[in-house]
Amino acid sequence: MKKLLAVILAVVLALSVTTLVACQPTADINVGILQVATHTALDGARQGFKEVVQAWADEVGKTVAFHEQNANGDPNNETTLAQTLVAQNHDLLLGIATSSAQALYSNTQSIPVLYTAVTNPAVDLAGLGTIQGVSDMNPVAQQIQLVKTVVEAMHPEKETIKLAFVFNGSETNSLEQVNLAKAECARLGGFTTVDVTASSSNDIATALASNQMQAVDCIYVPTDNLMAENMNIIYAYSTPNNIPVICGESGMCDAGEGTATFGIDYYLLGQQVGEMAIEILEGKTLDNPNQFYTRQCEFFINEENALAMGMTQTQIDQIKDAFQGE
Amino acid sequence: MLKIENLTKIFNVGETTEKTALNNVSLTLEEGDFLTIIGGNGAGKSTLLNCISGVLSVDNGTISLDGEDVTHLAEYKRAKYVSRVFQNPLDGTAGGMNIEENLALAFRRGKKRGLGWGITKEERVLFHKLLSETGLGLESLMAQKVSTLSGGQRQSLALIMAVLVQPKILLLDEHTAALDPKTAKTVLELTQKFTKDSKFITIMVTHNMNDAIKIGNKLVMMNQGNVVFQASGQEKQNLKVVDLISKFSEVGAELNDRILLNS
Amino acid sequence: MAQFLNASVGGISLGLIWGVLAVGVYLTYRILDFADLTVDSSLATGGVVTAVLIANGCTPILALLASCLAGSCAGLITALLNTKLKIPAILAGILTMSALYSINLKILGNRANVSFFGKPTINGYWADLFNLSLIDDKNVLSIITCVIVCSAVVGFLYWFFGTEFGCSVRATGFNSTMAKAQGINTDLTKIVCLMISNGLAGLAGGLLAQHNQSGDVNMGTGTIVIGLASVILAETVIRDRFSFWLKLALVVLGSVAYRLIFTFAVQMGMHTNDLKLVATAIIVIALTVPLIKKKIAHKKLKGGLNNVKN
Repeated sequence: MKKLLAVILAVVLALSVTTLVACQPTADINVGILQVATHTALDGARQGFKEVVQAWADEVGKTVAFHEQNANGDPNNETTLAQTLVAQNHDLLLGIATSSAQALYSNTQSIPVLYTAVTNPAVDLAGLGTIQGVSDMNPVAQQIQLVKTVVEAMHPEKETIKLAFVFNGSETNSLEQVNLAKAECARLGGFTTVDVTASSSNDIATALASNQMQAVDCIYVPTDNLMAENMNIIYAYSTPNNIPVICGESGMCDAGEGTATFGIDYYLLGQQVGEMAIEILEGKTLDNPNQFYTRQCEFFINEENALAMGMTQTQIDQIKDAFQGE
Repeated sequence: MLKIENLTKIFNVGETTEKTALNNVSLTLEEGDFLTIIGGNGAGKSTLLNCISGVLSVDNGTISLDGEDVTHLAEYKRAKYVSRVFQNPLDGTAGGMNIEENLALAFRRGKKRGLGWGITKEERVLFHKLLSETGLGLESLMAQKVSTLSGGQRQSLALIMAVLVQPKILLLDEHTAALDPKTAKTVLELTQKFTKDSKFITIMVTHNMNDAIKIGNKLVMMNQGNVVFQASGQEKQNLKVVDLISKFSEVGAELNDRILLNS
Repeated sequence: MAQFLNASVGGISLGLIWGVLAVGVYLTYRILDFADLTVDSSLATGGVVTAVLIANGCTPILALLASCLAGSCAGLITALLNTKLKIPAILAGILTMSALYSINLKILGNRANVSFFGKPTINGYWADLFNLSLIDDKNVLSIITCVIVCSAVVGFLYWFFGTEFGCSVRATGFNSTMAKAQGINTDLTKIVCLMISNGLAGLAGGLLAQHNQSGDVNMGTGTIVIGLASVILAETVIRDRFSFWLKLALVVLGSVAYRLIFTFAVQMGMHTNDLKLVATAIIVIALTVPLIKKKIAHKKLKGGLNNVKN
């Protein structure tokens, strides 16, 4: 008797659950989004993407539902979530960051997949068939020029600038940016560089405390996922030591204590890939499936911090003029 | 032949708890000898057995078996020559495996274990035959897990396993102490049956002075790591329990309740 | 509804891959009675070895064998730390696991991951044979691969633990005092068992890497929890009288069940942040099942006795 009741209860529960799920209102358009982890840049891209697609949907009078998943940095989660999104058979999928894009592309050939926030898609998404999206390769050369300008303003007497690259040695996109940065340093001349690497948040403080960091004039942090989540550790070192920090993108500077950046606006990046999505949802093929970020790069300087580091207001204004014009 | 010369074992060297468990103990035993060892707590009886079997390392002295020096031979290698029955019935058998598997393990003691089958059909037949000869009824439980057996049954099994492949030395460390009197008697009878006319050396530690006198042909009393009294042959058979008790007080050994009540 | 089925296929394929690992955990945790934490890293080692080899042109099967070998080397290290240097089991496992993280990064060439999209994987054989799509039917292909691998693994272990040496390994786990007294070299049995178990972890890592077509240094995080959960789930149905191969097969199914519960949870809209909580809840429930059974049996007995009294 008891067993029978238990079985009946279980069946009723299962049925009600399935009906509940099935009864969710279906939208005209379903878009799946997979993001590797949470930080300002990736969130900004997602925001920009959603707003552009939503605006278009409202215009043409359709409903759109976004199915968002975040892997929280766990590669096993990422696989499961990618499989889930593919199984849900959406109209379009967006992968934000390299590993998410890889996970989506390797699980479906039939659903259109867009990538964004992938620094070097030609290399990192090679072999996955046809890829389309917007890369977030940032203007590294100009960022190094910004380094030179800021340090010269602070220490006009110096002949060589010692520049420390702080990044996660295991992220290929960071390595690529650092190599580009070194090329620009060589071209401009007057730089000595050191690589300060860490592969997990526990190692960052130790790396910063090493001998290499002695007499460093400036820190450059590329758009590195690990560092982006841990900028506070870097600032805990740089601020007391009066070292300016030039970041790969403004989200990392926004944390309050970065000095300056000239970089990609990830919100606009999201909008750019959103526009590609609209074309695909309208059934068109893209003329330019693999784009680089084409919008205006954003200049940002933290004036309070710059003044505290010893720059004068005139110098700050000069830098602003030089970079804001571009 | 077992020859133990100047065996010394000290625990916790250099600390406040330092204790000399064996102090220059020497002993010689011939094939077929059955030695009983008695003594108070901390006399060094179990330590002696553990040194002979290789569980404990020795600090000084030698142990040689048939002329071969085995003092520093690893325990598992020494098991080829030395088999043991522990005081705790749970220690001598693998509870999660069944009787025939335990016997199969014992059957391979001292041999290299390769990738042949863990137990063969012929072995099953042999084990069945051996078990029925002991009259304990274990042959009908061969496929049963050892953990379901009683303490007495497990200890009997451990004893059978110890003599399945003839050793050179059989060590019995108070192997009936954890059993009820009736079962203890059964196991002791089984012990005598297996060791009668045997070619191996048996050493039995016991707290029961009656058994110590009646069983075996040699007796040794230990106290504080030393051999304080020895007897063999007729002299041993003629001993009375009161003699032994007075010997205990002579050497200043402590008589505990177990010894007195068990005798 | 179709969604669930689709997602379940994915869950089953991953569950079978992790099933290989679960069997390895069963060997150390249950049979050898050794709490081995090395698997978190030995699985990743297997994965990155496969990734690097295939990216450089190696055949998929050879890469899998290499992963298995790499995993067993990891097991060897832990075993040596424990048997020769007398380091306690759990600590030995943790030490090897930590050291392997750096080694895994080195294997990857100081990067966090290596992908090999477009290169041949073991699934490719069935894709050609059955005319299936490598990507769209990836889960079905992985299921075929894993059913074959799991059967081979269970078959091998069933044979191995029936041999003399295999029995001595089991004896070591049940009662190492007795094993030594029976002339068994317990150091050797521990070493061999740990090598096999971590070899299986490496194999699972290789299969996972081929499924994802990439090897990541963090792919092994939480492996021991997954393995233990699968074993515990399986043990709610395993009975002593079951034959060994059946027990192993149930462990694999336990892993599949565990993965399906996750898939179900995510399909139901559960947030990924809560997945770890779900995992713990599953394990706790599975562990209390025997307790509840006892209570029910006891109540039945009491009820029966009361009836007799009356």
